[in-house]
Amino acid sequence: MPSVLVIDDEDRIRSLIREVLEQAGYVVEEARGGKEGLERYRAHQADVVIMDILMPDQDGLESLVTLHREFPSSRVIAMTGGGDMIGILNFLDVAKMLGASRTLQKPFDVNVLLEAVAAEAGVSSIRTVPSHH
Amino acid sequence: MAFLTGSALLLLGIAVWRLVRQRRECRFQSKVIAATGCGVVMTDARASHHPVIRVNPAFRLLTGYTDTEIVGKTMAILAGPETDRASVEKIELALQQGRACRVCVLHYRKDGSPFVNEVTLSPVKGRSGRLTAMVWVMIDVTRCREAESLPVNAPDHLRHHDIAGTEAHQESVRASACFGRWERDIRTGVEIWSDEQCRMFGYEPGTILPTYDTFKAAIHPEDRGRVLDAGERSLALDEPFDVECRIVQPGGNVRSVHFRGLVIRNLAGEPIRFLGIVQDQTADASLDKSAKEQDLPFRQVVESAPNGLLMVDQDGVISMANTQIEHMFGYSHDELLGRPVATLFPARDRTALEMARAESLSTSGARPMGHGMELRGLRHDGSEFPVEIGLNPVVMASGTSLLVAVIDITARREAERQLRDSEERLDFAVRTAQVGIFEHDHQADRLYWSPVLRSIYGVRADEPGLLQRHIELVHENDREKVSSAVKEAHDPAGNGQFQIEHRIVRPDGEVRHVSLNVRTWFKREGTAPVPSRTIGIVIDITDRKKVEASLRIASKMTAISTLSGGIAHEFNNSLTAVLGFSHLALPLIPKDNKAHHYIQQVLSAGMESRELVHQLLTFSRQSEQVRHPLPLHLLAKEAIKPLRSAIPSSIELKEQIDTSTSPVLADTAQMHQMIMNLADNAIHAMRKTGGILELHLHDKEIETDQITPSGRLPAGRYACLTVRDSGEGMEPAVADRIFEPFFSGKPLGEGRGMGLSVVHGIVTAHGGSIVIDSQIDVGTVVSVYIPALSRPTVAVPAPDDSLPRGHECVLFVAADESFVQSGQSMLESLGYRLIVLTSGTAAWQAFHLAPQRVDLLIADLTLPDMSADRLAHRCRQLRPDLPVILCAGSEQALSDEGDHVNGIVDVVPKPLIVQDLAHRIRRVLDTRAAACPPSTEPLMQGGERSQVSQEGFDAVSSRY
Repeated sequence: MPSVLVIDDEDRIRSLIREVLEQAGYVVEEARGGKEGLERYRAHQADVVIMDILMPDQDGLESLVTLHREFPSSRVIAMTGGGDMIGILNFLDVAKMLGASRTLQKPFDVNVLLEAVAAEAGVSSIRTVPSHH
Repeated sequence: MAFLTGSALLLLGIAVWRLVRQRRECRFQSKVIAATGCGVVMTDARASHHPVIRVNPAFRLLTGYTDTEIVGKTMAILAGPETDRASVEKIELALQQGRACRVCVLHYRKDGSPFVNEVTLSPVKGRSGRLTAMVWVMIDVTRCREAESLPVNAPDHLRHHDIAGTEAHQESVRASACFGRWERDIRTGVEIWSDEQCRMFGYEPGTILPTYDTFKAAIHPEDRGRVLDAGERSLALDEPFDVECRIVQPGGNVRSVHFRGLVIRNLAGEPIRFLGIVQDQTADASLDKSAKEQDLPFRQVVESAPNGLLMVDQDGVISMANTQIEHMFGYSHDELLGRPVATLFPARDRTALEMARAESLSTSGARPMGHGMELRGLRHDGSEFPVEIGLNPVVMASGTSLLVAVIDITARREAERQLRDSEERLDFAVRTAQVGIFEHDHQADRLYWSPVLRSIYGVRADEPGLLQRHIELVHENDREKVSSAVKEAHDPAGNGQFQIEHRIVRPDGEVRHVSLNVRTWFKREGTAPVPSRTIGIVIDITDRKKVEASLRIASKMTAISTLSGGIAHEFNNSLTAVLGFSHLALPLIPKDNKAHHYIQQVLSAGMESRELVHQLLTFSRQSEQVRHPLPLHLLAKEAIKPLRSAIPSSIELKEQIDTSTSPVLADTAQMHQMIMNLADNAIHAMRKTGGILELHLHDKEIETDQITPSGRLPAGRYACLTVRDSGEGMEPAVADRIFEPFFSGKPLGEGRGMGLSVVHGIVTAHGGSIVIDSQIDVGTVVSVYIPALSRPTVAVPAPDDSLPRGHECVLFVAADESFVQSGQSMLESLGYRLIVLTSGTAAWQAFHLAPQRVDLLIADLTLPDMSADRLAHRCRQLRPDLPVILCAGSEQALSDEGDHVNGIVDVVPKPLIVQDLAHRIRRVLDTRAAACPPSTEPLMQGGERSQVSQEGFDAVSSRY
């Protein structure tokens, strides 16, 4: 089963993503912040990393860069909750430049999340949560 | 000399009176007495008080008394306060004893001025031998006494006359006040000259032995004949010697003199002595020396006056001038005397001066200085200056002259002019600044309103300024605050000043804001100070208030956007949880359970919140856009797709999207947002009634500049997006404000949020304009105009499979819109991953965040902020092996560039041709790749070398 490492400082968010992914059949690891995330990844390289890179203590970006440097083949989905601009740069460009494979905007539709993980893990969608519409 | 003086005179007196007895005596006597410059008085010795019988003309000149005034009186009339008793007693003794005597005594003239009088008394005895009369011969020796340095029986103040006054003045006065005495013994030929005569003739006394020849030689050659003839006649015919002529001093000085003399004969009738006096009248030929003496104190006054003073005689000639005049007009004293006063004034003023002069003299009333005439004075050097003159006729011993006071009023004129200028400037400033002024005179209870004040208040020019009216004009809500401020200002205990802003209501109903600044001056009246004068300044500040209001709104908006940006992150996190868990929960709850429905509501509410936060964010970061050339029609079609499924069935969606619509330079996300918001609004308007939602997109050409609610719409080509609904419509008042955030014109609770204000912000940020047309119950049409991009000059060819392609990450930097568009299309069609930026700074920022990410830098040479070669240079500093391609537009640039950047740089000419570009890129990339260790991942570069600079980090971090 593909494994996913979720790095976010918000408990609820990690909890939510764990719920969604586990229901879809993934094995989920959690980390509270960039530092912990790096340690975990070094210990076990999950198939996909979901990382909020714009966390308040700013270690998300640095961790992403470090992670990608150490593990160039890592697949990272960068999450953001603050819009898609950093200064005059499009966040998308920045994330990609820093090593993320794709980005995910909060608040996201859970299906969107699942599709993104599936794509990065290189599997077709295992299970999706029924749409509420 | 005293002896000579005394004896000469004595001889004269005796000889004269001897001759009296002869038949020609009377006439001769009269002539002599009349001709002499000495004062001669005859007193009656038979009366004990010695009354005056007769006086000669010279006496009047000497003392100022006319014969009528003195005849019958005693000579004691001449005595004065400082006349010394000793001299007086001597005279009285002589009178009593009937003896001759000579004495110097201080006498006073009629005008009270003192003089030293050398009095020679000669007794006249009758046939019986008894004393019948006394002859007094009097000479003013004041000057001579001093000149001769003899002790004088005169009080000190007389000496001081000499000390004031100028040298020349002294000289002439001395010269003219004195007599020279001469005497010739005809038998021996001996000449005797008095010291004064010596001086008069230009010699120091004692240095010359006077002889007849010296005398002759001294006379001016032109006059010599005449003088000597007169002398002969006197000797021969007994005529009195009375002649005026010029003498020449050894130094060359010419002086005018007056000789008067007598011939003394013996009993045989032979001339034995020729003697007489000589008077220097050089300084002023028309004035008698005594008159001059008399005027002496007057002179002192004139000289010491602070103003310029002139004395002008009846002929208009200057007879006296003080130093101020000399300085004022630039003439020396000598140049002034004898000059016609008219020459001191320019020709055009002379008539007026003459008239004034004549008038003054005739009426003999002084023209006081206050009503002086204002003329110009003419200086010696020809320059003119403004003067004020006063004319005062003065009766002097020598006749009526005109005292002319001259004041140089240049300074005063200048001060007046400066004051005028200052006032003009003030007036101008007041008018230009539109400052209204009012002035309240408390005592007279008068209120003055300036014209500007009237225009601010909107009252007519002819309306009287009344306090009541003033109050009426104040807005009723502000009246209280204004009157309490006024009361406070009128309180003497305070500082009398206040400043207040209040509204006024003009007569035409318009409400204006004014700023009122008032100051009150107090004065003491009785025990307490009372207000005496109040001045107020009023400025219309309505416009300023409007600007302040809109600034407040603008800053509110800024605050909102800043806030919203800040809270969005937190909000989104929480929303994620809300939506996410609700999503998870829903399938766990059976549909027939109420909880299922509740969770659905939660989800729905959460979605709306997400939408709202998104709007907020869009609103807050409208300045941060990344614009690309965008074919709007594609975007519109994309946006409509979800709409079709979202709109209620009561609403029909129609679309007319012209695929040939010009592309625009726009931010994709924002355009998307705009379309969604507009559609949203239209749908909401039709939620009750249903209807038709029409979406049109086509090019539109605007012929002339227009003004729309959102600003100017300049002429040009636009992509015009129109959203039309057949809903409830809006009132014009509502339509005007529909773009204000949270304004909806609807009752509370039905707020429309930020939808349209976001649209407005997006449109204006893109340089476009938005127009609303709405009618109640008919519907609303919203038209958005976005400036169209000019068509690309290079047609983008369909991707050619034969062309070399790649997947590398290309950083493409260019500013020119069409070039960006064409370049981007080309590169994308070749398969490269693009990062497109439109400024050098942004490119540099992006690059140095992760220098290893970029495989190739393609930059247009003409970048606005940082030149491409500089960008390449900096990038190369971080990554020396970075491949660079520069796009240049001219031959010149082509050859120049490449030198400044170290390393490989390819320069490609514009316009870009896709085939050429494709090959160049591959060549550059492959060359570099060959030089470096091969990498397995196309998406990354040489591994361990990727460093992100701390700077870049901080830059990114701090931005978030």
